[in-house]
Amino acid sequence: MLEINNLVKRYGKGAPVLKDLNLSVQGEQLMSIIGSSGAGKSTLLRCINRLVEPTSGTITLNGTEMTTLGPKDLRRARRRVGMVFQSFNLVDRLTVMENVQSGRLGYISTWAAVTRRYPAADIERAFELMERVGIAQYANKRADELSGGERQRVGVVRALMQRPEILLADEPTASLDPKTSEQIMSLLRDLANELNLPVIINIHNVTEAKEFSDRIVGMRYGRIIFDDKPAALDAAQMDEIYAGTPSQDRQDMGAAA
Amino acid sequence: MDWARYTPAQRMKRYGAFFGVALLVTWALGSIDVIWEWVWDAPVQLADLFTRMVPPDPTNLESILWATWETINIATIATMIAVVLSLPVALISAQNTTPNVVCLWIGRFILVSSRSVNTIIWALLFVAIFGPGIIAGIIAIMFRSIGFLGKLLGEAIEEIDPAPVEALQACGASRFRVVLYGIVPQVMPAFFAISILRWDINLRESTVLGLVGAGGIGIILQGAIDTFQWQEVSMVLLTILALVIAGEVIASALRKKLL
Repeated sequence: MLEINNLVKRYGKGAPVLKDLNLSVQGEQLMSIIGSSGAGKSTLLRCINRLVEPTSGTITLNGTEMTTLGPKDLRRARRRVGMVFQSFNLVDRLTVMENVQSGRLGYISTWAAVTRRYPAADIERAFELMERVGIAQYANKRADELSGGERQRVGVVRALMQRPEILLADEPTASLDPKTSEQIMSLLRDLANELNLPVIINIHNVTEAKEFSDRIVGMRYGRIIFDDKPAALDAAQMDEIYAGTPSQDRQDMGAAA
Repeated sequence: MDWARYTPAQRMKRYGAFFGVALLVTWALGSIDVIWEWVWDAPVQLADLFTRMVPPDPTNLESILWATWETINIATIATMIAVVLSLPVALISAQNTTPNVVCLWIGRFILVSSRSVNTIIWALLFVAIFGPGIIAGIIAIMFRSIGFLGKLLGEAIEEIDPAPVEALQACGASRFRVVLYGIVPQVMPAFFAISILRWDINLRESTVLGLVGAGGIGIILQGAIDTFQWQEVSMVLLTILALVIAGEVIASALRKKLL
């Protein structure tokens, strides 16, 4: 269970990107966050594993308070949080297997990492997962030889190798064509069910969000203004979520204050 | 419509700058002590020297080749040691991998002090310390190379794509492992290219080390010039030319194979 309370993130001296945000993720298998660019979706996701440092507030993952961890404990906590990225963020010059095994870098010994002699159990699990998503035949290929959809599958397997307690996906399908995008979304949904893994997805494609998620959260300029089942998201709420621009919002707030 | 690329004020400024540079060049030429008779005499001297250099004299070929071998060894050994030593320097002087600001400045200090001193000057210094010979040459080349390699490798590290690094951090990998998996693979091509380039440069630099007594073929060249053995001088110059061309060929072959 993930519990976010009073989360504030401010870059430099500007207006906060996240404003006193509260969010609780428990039973849901797959939750989508929608909102226009600049709404703070990415920042929210990155605050959870502290790729972005929150300014204030608390984030608790299954009893661990993330925001106060020192460097070493943070590394241990990050092993429990898988992340999938829009641009896949693979190491192009390494093989698919090396990329997949890099999900275990927080667990294995430095010597094993240097010599690429990964534990047998990790190799077995890697092949299982690669088989599951259909990339096992590429194990010895360089990551940059794969197509976009295949690369994102490598990204997903790398995250799953961590045996995460939660999976964060930051616009995982935004660089993919519509068909591949649907495949990745249904893959994420199926994996969430099979592994009993909560998944949070930032997504721009509202149709896909409605089709694949159990819960949708709508953000507008640092606040959550919608949080319900996909069926409850109607045209009026869509307008509300996507209306205006961050700068307009800023002015409106100034006027209100 | 009347259109001009520059306003009158801009034009005056440009003329002014041009005039200023011309004045500076005139002054610079006037201030150096040129003995013009010697300059006009140069073509005659050149022809004269040429007749004295031809044909090249191969009687000392054996010792020339031995010195060439020594030159190659100086360049290769020094490059190898410098490559190893420059790795930690590159890591601490790159913004994105330095552990802290103190290390960053130590790294930059090493780079700047290595780079700001010419190989010949390093060689003079080490000949004074180690005595004349190949050791002084190796260490001189090495000292100069550390700065070159560290600087270029450090820049390659700073130019990597940070996205995979972020992904590995998100996996909970330690700093060292992030470098190992996220940064090393990305800078590998640059690393080889820079190392080969420096070996190529070192090969040429080590041919002149002998002029200050730091080993290699330069010693023979210096001796031949001092004793006016012009035919031997031309033999040495031809050998150096062959060496440099061979180095160029090997370097480009290596580059093709590794990259």
